Order: sequence, then C-alpha cells, then structure tokens
Amino acid sequence: MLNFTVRRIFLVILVAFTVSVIAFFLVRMSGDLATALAGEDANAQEIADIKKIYGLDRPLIIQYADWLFDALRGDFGASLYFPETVGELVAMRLPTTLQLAFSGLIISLLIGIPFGVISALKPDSWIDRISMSIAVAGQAIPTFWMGLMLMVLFGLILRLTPISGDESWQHFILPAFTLGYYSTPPIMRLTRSGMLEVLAGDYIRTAYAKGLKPLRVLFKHALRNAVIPVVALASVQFGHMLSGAIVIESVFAMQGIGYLAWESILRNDIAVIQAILLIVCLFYVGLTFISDLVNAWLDPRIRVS
Amino acid sequence: MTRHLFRRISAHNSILIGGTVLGAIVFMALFAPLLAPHDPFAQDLSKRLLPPFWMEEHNPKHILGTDNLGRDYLSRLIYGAQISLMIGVCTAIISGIIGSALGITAGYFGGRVDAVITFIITTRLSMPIVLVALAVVALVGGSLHAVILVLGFLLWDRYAVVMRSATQQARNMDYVSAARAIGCPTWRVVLSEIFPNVVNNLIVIATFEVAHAILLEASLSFLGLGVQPPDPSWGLMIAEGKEFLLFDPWVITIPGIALSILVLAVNMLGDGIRDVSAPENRN
Amino acid sequence: MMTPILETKDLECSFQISTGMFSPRKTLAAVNGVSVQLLKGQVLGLVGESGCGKSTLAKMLLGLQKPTKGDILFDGQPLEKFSQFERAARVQPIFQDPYSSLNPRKTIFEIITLPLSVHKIGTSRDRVLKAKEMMDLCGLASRYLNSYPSQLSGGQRQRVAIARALVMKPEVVICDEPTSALDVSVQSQILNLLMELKNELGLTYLLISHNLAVVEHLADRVAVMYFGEIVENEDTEQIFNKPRHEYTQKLLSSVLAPDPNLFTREV
Repeated sequence: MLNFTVRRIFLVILVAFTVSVIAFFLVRMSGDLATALAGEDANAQEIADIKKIYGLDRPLIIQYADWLFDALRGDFGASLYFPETVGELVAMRLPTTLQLAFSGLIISLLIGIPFGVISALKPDSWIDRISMSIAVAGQAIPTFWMGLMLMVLFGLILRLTPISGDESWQHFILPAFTLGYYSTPPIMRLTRSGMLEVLAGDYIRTAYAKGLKPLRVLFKHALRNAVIPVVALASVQFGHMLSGAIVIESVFAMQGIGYLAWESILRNDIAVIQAILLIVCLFYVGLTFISDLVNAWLDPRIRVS
Repeated sequence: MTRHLFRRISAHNSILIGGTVLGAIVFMALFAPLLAPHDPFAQDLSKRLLPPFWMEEHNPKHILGTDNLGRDYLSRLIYGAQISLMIGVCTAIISGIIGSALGITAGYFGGRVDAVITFIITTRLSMPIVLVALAVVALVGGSLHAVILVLGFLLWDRYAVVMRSATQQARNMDYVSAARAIGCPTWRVVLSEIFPNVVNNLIVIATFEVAHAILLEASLSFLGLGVQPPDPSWGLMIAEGKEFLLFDPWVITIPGIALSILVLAVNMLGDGIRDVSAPENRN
Repeated sequence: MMTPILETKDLECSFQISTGMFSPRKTLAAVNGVSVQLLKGQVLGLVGESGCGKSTLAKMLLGLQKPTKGDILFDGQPLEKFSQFERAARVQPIFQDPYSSLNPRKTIFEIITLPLSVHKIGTSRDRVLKAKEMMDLCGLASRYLNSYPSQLSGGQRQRVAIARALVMKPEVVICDEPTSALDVSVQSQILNLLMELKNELGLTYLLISHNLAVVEHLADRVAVMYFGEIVENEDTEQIFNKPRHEYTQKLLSSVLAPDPNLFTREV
C-alpha cells in the first residue's frame, strides 16, 4: 500500500504540473494581456511600454515559471477590475464555494445512501423502481434550469426560502440541493449495487445464522463495507460540484469563485481566470488522488497494476 | 427468473420509448422549416411576451406564446431542437473518435503506450470541463462550431476509459493470438478482430455522451458563452427568459421541459441498449 | 540423422519484474535453456504443471513472444530468416479454450479462411471451396459455414479451430491442451481426429498437455518441463515405464488411475 501511495504521489505531482501548464497557456492565449491592461484607446507605444513593465515581452516559458513560483507562494497577481489582489479575491470567495459544494455533497449522500440501501433491501420492488426512475429522470434535468424552477417555486411562490445571495445558511438550501441532486443518482446506484453484493456475501449469512438482529447486521456489517467505494465516488463528485458551482452560483447570485470565474471570463480578467482554473484543477487532482487511494485500499489488485 | 425477464422487457421498453421520443424530436428538427408556424428570428415588438395557449390572454397565432422580442416560441422551440441534436451528435462523434482511438491503442499495446495514454486521461480528468470550456470559448468567441469543437475535444474521457478496458479484455482472447499466429498485421487485428467486439460498449457510451453534450451546451449558452443570440438554443432561451421569471415563467419552463425530455429520451435509449447488449454493466 | 523440422537451442525467455520501489528488478526466466527437437511426423508431448513455461514456449514457437536468448530453427534455418507469412505457413496453433479461440463476431467461414484472406490467397470462390473442404476434413457439416461460434458446441468449435490451423497447410501444429476444456465424451473424438489428420497430412505435433493419459496415448516422445527447464526428454515408453528424473517420477505418481497397474514403473 505504501508502495502504491508513493508511486501515486509522483504521478499526482506530474499531473498537477501538467495541469498548471495547461491552465497557464490556455488562458494566456485567450487575449493579449498587454492590450487589455493598456485599455481601449492605447496606442502601440503604450502597449509596448505596458509589455515591458509587466514583463510580458519575455518568453512565455519564463512567464509561466514566474507565474508558477509566485502562485506557489500565494501571489496570483492583480485583477483588472477589482482593487484586491487575485489572491485576496479568491481567499474571500472560496469559502462560499466550498460551503456550497460541501452542502451539496452532504445532501446527495443523505438522499442517495438511504435510498440506495432501501433499494438494495428490496430490489426490483416498486420503491426500487421509483427511486431509480427519479434518479434517471433527475439526470436529464439541466441543473441551472432546476435551480431556476426551484427558485420560482420555493422562493417566489411559496416564499419559503430566499431567492438569491449567500448571506445566511437559508440562502444555501436551494443551491445546495440543486447542486447535490445531480450527484445523487450515481451515489444511489453505487450504494445499491455495493449493498446487493455485500448482502449476498457468505459472512452476512453467517451473521444472520448467528442470530444477530437483521438491523444490526445491516448497519454493522453490510453498510460499513458497502459504503467504502461510495467514499471514493463522493470524493470525485465533490470535484464535480466545484465545477457545477459556476453555473449554480450564477443562477443564485452567490459570491463564490464560480461566479467570479464567470465574471472574469466575460471580462477577460486573465490573472483571475488562471488562478481559479489552477486552484480548481488542483482540487480535482487532490480529490482524485484520495479516491484512488481509497479504491486501492479496498481492492488490492489495483495496487499492482 | 421473472426478475430477469422483467429486466429484458423493461430494457426493450426503454429502447422503445426512448427511441420513439428521440425519433419524434429528430423528425421535428429535420422538418423544422415545414413544421414551424413562423420564422424563429422574426421579431415583432408589438407582440412581446404573449402567453401560451393554456393561459387567458393568449394569441391563437402563437400557440406557445412569444418571447421578449415577440418571436414565436413554438418555432424557436422547434428550431432549437436542431441545435441541441447537432451539438449532441457532432460532439459525440468527435469525442468518440478521439477517446476510442486513445482507449483502443492503450488497451491493445499496453506497456509504455498505455502508461502515457493513461497519464493523458488522468490529466484530462483533473480539469473541470465547464471551467475549461468557458475559458476556451471565451478565447475563440461563442458560436455553435466553437462549442462543438471544444466539447468534442474535452468529452472523450469516458470513451477512452471504457474502450481501453474492453480492448484489454479482448486482447487476452485466444482468437487474437490465433490471428497473430496466422500473420495478421496489427492494424487488421485491431480493426477486424478486436473492434467488432468492443463496438457495443462504444454505442452505449456514445448515447450517454450525446446527452452529456446537450446539457453542457445548454449550460454554456445559458452563461452566454455558447451559442449566441439570436440563435434559438434552448439554453440561451432560458437565459433570455430569466428576467421575466416572476411574471412570465413559461418563458423558461418550456425550453427546460424540452431539454429534459430530449435528454431523458437519449438516456433511456442508452440504458436500454446497454441492458440488452451487456446487462452485467448495469452499475 | 535427419534435420529436425523444428528445433530450439538453449531457448530462453526472461521477464523483468519489479519487487518494490527501491529494490533492483529481478529476472524471472519463464523458459530457461530449452533445447528440444521435433522430427517430421512425430508427436512430441510436453508435460508439466501449470506455470512451468509450456505456454511461453509455445508462444515463442508461434512467433507471438520474442525469446531473450537462444535459437529457433525450422529445417535448420533460424526463425529470423522467415517472413511472417512463411512462419505462419509452417507453424500453426490449436488453443485450449474453444470459447475464446474463435472470434464471436465472425462466421465460421470467416474464421477458417482468415489465413487465406490475410495473405490474399485465392478468390472468394476459392475460399468458399477451401472452407468447405477443411470443414469436411475435420468432420464439420458444411451447413455451419455461415453460423457463428455461439451456435456451435465445444467439440464443434474445436474442429473449427483445427480447420483454421490446417488451412495454411502447416508442417507443425502446436496443440496447447487441445481437449482440456472439452467434455470427456468429446475428447476422444477430437484426439482421434487429430491423429487421423496427422497421418493423412503428414503433420508434426507438439502436444502440450497436463493430462498424462492423453500424452501416453498419442505421443512418440515426451519432454517433461519443470520451472522453465526440460528435465527429461525420452521416448514415451521410456518416460512412463522408466522415469529417471525425480520430478517425472513425482508427476507420474500423482496420477490417479482406475487400474494402478496401468502405469508400471520401476524406480
């Protein structure tokens, strides 16, 4: 296991590095930073001056190295539109997004796991089919639209929740639910299949034979084993939620990094885009790493491949 | 026994229902010029935001009402199907080719080639699609073609992963050894011996990726970085209707329902095909 | 002495395996210094337990695995001198598992005539005739020409595999456990077919099997393999009646026979 972990860490560093390269070059090619900084009416001389001042005339590789080293120290440069540095901006907005993603994950686990367990206990029953149908139907609904519909229903018509913004925890209910809903079906399915597999196992039958109460068997033995692959999946789903936060934050006008990313992309605020892209990618890399570790711990065959 | 039978029947049902609905939408898209009552781009500011037929002040000439620029909603809905379907299919083809090529190559040759390709897949999986797609589309400017290309070059990971493992399985079969022992050249072994045995997986993944692409385009267009106005992308229509959420909610309800139905149909079709061809892959 | 039709000299096939992050890689020799000879028309039995290297040896002879050392000679000529096609025309395999040795997506016709198709031999009319001829030779009704493997039984599939192996008119056929995966009732049919074909077409067989009864019945000579090395290589009678190597003796003594006197051996 240690062997595997060490090898994986090398891989993770390599991927993180590659991803940083892509993040940098992708965004850099999106526009001439010098022109954006100089403003619309700048002439050629002013643009050339800006290039000198900001070091934009150096080879791209050098600029990348500079950016990376600064980023590792937390310095992401300056925003074109905000007075704060990019680092400060991100630090301000990141908690909102993390809270949102985390709430979404909790919701998807709170709905997905119990339904998965129930479905496994009574496979192909009406409750199983209904929950699977809801899952299938749910995955067809565009998240942003669902957010809007919920906003109309619960915020405007029923007036149960706030409509937009992120001041209080109530503001997080609808966005978190919308975000989490999309991850519920995979978690439900994995829990269901995991439970089915575990319940059919011999050691469960032994536990029953020993006379243990069914519920106790359920929680102590079956669930514990079935839930481990779900942890790995949840890790990956958390990453998807960070990504989905862009859309949800825009719908509900929440001040997270998703909304910030969208605004910055529309305004070509390159430093911000690069920073957010790098951070989200690093989150992805880290989350995938955790997921891989959990899966490898669970299935030793993975460690040797 | 009955459970097995039930699964097969419901698989066929899925294909039937999903296929029929999808077929209807495709029909609608193909014959849009004939079916649409009005020009989807024709504005008439005197007829803004007319409600659909189930509400009181509706106009019989516009069954589903009009949007904020007076354009007939039904017509825009019908033409919008063209956009969603085209994006879904084109993206699936591009990403399918890229992903399958990578996956089959990795699965067949193994070793260093596999290590490199797996690294590429891992790197791609470490990037959030929406964010990258947004950034790139901002780079090249939003348009139908930009979306198709960007999504096509991003959504290949599932193909690669599935094709890789399917190819690895096929590679270990004796009929591959027999073909090689006969002196069959590598390209022919891959195309003629292995590919027909993995193509089922490809089809199932392709249907799900069509749905995925359709939803992603809707999100991108909703955020203003996908298909640009005045094209009737359903996602864009939802964005345009956002302001009128409170008083004229149908403006966003209708395209949302349309999207959901289309994606649901495609997913059902994919589920059905998968259950029929390889039921063991259900979960 | 006649030149053997197929011969290996000190053949070796080693793999590097890693034993941990910080230890150096170890070398595992799946086949270690194997020298065997096949004379024309002979059946050489190759026996040994699972994992002894029989399959690796077979793969090398078929050109599917590169040896790390040693030579393979056809009629005295080294393997490298032959093109893929020429080698394929000389050595063909019959595999153990009739379920994985036939491509489920191809018809029997396509499977049998694959060698002809790959090497562009004959027109499609010729190939149909050839396919029917081979099926006839192997006891398969020609109505199965356009069937799929899933429609055939295990024994029938093995006949298809035999037909495919013989369509290139090879001189040597490597039979890797040809009947192990078949029902007992079908095994003798297939074995008899193999012997008939050998006599009719003048074939030479390398018969790999862990089933000693089969080997005793069919082989002229037997080579015993243990951990990648040949420990004994004698006439069949010699091996079964007067085994010299300790391992051979162990192998023989482990066989459960209904009549204990079937394997008489003097130790």
